[in-house]
Amino acid sequence: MSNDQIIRVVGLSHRLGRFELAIPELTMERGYVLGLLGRNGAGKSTTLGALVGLIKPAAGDITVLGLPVRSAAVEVRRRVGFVPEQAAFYDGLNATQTAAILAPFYPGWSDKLLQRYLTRFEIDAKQPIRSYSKGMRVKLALALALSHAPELLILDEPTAGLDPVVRQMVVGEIAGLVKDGRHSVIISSHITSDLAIADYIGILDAGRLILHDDQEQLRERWRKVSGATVHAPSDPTGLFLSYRRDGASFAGVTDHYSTEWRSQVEQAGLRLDVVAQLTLDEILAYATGQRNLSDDAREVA
Amino acid sequence: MLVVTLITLATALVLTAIEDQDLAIGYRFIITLVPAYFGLTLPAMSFRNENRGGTWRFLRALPASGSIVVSAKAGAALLVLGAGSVVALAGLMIANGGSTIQATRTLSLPVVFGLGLLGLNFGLCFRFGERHASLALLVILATLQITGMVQFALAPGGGIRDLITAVEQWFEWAQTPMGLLTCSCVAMVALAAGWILSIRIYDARDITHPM
Repeated sequence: MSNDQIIRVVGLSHRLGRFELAIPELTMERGYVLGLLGRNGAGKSTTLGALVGLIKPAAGDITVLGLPVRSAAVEVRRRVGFVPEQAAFYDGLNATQTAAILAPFYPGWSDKLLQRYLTRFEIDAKQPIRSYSKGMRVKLALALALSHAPELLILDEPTAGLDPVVRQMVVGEIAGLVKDGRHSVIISSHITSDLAIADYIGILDAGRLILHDDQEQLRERWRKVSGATVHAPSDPTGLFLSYRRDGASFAGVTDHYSTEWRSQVEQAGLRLDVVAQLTLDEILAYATGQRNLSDDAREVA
Repeated sequence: MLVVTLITLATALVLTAIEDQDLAIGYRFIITLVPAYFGLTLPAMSFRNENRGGTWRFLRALPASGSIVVSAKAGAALLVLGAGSVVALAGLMIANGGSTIQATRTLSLPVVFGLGLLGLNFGLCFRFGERHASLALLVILATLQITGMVQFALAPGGGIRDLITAVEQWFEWAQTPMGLLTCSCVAMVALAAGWILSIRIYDARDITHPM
């Protein structure tokens, strides 16, 4: 494992009732944002829980910040800032009292940092947490997670159910954190717009990591194309992830777009007229098989 | 805690006005039950609050090992049990007209009993969850009682009258220095066993298990 590799997952598997998580390999380098995308129940929370030792997987080796999670989960949690999907607090306490409970567990805890985040997130530290809105609770969880200056921040659906203003604030804060190149963030979400800040995207579906790539390359390779059939072609279906022919015109989606792929398509007797990038939402839908062009055509009809 | 304090103090005040000795024994018994009451109910109450409020997730997410989390919870329970015992002691002192020595002597065995119950119950709460722990505890206590009764009944010349006499004799012995020491050792073993069992269970489980 290189010094800059802060996450290394090998052969992770875990079963929860009928759900089975299986991730053969997942790595991440320091200074980047990894966005985990997937529908509800895809395995995002289980994966993140396993990274901080809150889920004990049946098999596999997980190393976080150079520490084996199986035997050093407490040390991992000490060095990682973790914001769970449902941040739980003692509702009768206020933010200051909660911070007083947490501070002794983190060697890098800074009250100054806490104050800075409480002010920035406009959190009234004297009010009991039971009076907080959902957005306030998420902001408090984030402020507490950031107050011990973690090298790695892991956020499980932090923006779910938040209003756009708070979401922007949370996402902006995360984006700012990795600018120095020393911090890293893993963020799971099913809201694809939140993952615009992610350098890498991992797509989970039914417990499988079906895609893990650089976001720029992902957008480069995943394209929606349309055009016309020039001559009677050999079956071009194999060149596309999803393909539909309608008389002399066709439409298709590929995850292999390149100049080489273009020439293969042209050799197959197709002329590309329009080539468009896919949104993350569309990539998720096509990658998980939730959408294909035949269905689109039926919907239009 | 407040309710128990009020009931204890009210019982103590009633005791000061009672002349009937048999009735007084009954009222005094209520006060001496306070430590055992806390030993029986504190772990389940504490676990129920964590599970209902979802705060067990907060504890789980802490960078803390099972020994720290369990010790903190057990420490808090012991503090409340201690406070309850002080209230009971005050109640007995009021009832006895201020005799600290007599009140301490009366309360020492119930406190030891409460400590043993607390340790046992704590381990059971971690093992079976707070809903089933009380049932498991009742089953254990009933089994012990039935085993003892059967042993007496089967013993040569045994019978229910002998059993009552034996129980009375046991209570007299338990209040002697040697008896109290023996009971304290048993309670400490129960506390230690409950503590160690709880830590092992906590460390072996993950966030998919509530407390």
